[in-house]
Amino acid sequence: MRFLLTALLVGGLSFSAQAETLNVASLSPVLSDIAEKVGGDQVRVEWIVKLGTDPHGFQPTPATIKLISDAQIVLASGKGMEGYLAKLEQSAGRSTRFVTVGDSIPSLKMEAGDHAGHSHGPGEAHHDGEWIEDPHWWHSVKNAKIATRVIRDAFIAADPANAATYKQNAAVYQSQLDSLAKWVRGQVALLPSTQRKLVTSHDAFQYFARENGFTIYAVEGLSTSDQPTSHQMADLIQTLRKQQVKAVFAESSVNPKVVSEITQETGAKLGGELFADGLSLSAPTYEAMIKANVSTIVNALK
Amino acid sequence: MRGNPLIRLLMVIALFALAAFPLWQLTADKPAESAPPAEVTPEATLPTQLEVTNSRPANEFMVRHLGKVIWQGKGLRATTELPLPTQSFDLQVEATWNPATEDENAFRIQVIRDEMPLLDSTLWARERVEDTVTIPAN
Repeated sequence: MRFLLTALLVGGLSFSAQAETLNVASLSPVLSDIAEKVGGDQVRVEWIVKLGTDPHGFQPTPATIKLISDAQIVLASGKGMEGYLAKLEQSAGRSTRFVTVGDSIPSLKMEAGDHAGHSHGPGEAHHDGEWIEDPHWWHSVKNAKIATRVIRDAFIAADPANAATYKQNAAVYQSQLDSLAKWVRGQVALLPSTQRKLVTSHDAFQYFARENGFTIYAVEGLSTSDQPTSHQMADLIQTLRKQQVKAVFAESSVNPKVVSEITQETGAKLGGELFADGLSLSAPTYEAMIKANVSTIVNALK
Repeated sequence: MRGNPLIRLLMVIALFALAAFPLWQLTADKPAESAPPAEVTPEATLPTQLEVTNSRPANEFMVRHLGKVIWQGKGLRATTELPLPTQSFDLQVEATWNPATEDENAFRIQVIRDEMPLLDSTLWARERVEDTVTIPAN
């Protein structure tokens, strides 16, 4: 009898603790990390898109819809990153609030052709020459600060009782982001403006480039999924020689043959791997991702 | 007369032999010649005036360009002239006040070229300021 009472008491306590926690589901590892920083112990964040998963290729499953339906808040990157978002909203219950963080962040445009390798889900096909919103807003620390504010406000609206905690946590994290932005400026300052040239395998670093005075040369065909034509290669090699580019940066799915030809013909070296689409197992937080990318870029171009 | 078939055969062989050498030269596997490492042209510079003003004498201030200290000093006010890039460039600045004050101290840096102000930036701290300022191309 005593055992039964204890079990009921413990069960009841854990249930009430669970009920007090705000359930959040996130479709972006970057947003999951920020949500955990802002929410602290008051929030349980379900990382729908896990660390190291390419968010461009993610497609929801019935299990995803169940997780989304259980959440009070769903965080999405926006700017076309989640092509499946409208359908997911239809599938989720009315009590789930979708917060598209990217809607509050000023957009840069990119040519759809540069983004051809990305899947935006059904009905989201883009054509060469078409201008679309660049979804990679998280490469600007300023934008991460905006995202922190948006998440803080969403949490306060859903759980006003813990508003003071969310405000305090967000203020602490924004101060860390200020320090991170200062660190980025200090690192980039080691490069003369004439050497701020970023050759990457897909055009994901516009927000970073705009903030730090870089020019981007995105290489179509540098990924394993496609192959540049000889004409494209010749044009690119000529441009890189003319621009005296010191290094070429790749993502994990780099085509070694194309890189080898570029480095051999131009004298540029392989600068290292950049995390273009968010967090990974080796850079599991927003701060770690930014520091890894900036260190790779600066060390290669110095 | 169509000529002796043996002579014609020899002529064909001779033609092949003549063509073989240039063809071999064109198609032979050669060790890949890689381009020399990309040499970056040094940046063009122009004499540029730097002026530092502190609200309270700084124990030390330092200005770095591309990671190297290009100017350091102390006190309330100092001026120097240095060759700096004609294109956009960054300066890392640092100043310390020891002991720390209750109110914040101002560190003002002005960058002037041909009597034209390129930058006028003020940073605040009680003990130490450290930041990067960007000077746009003029």
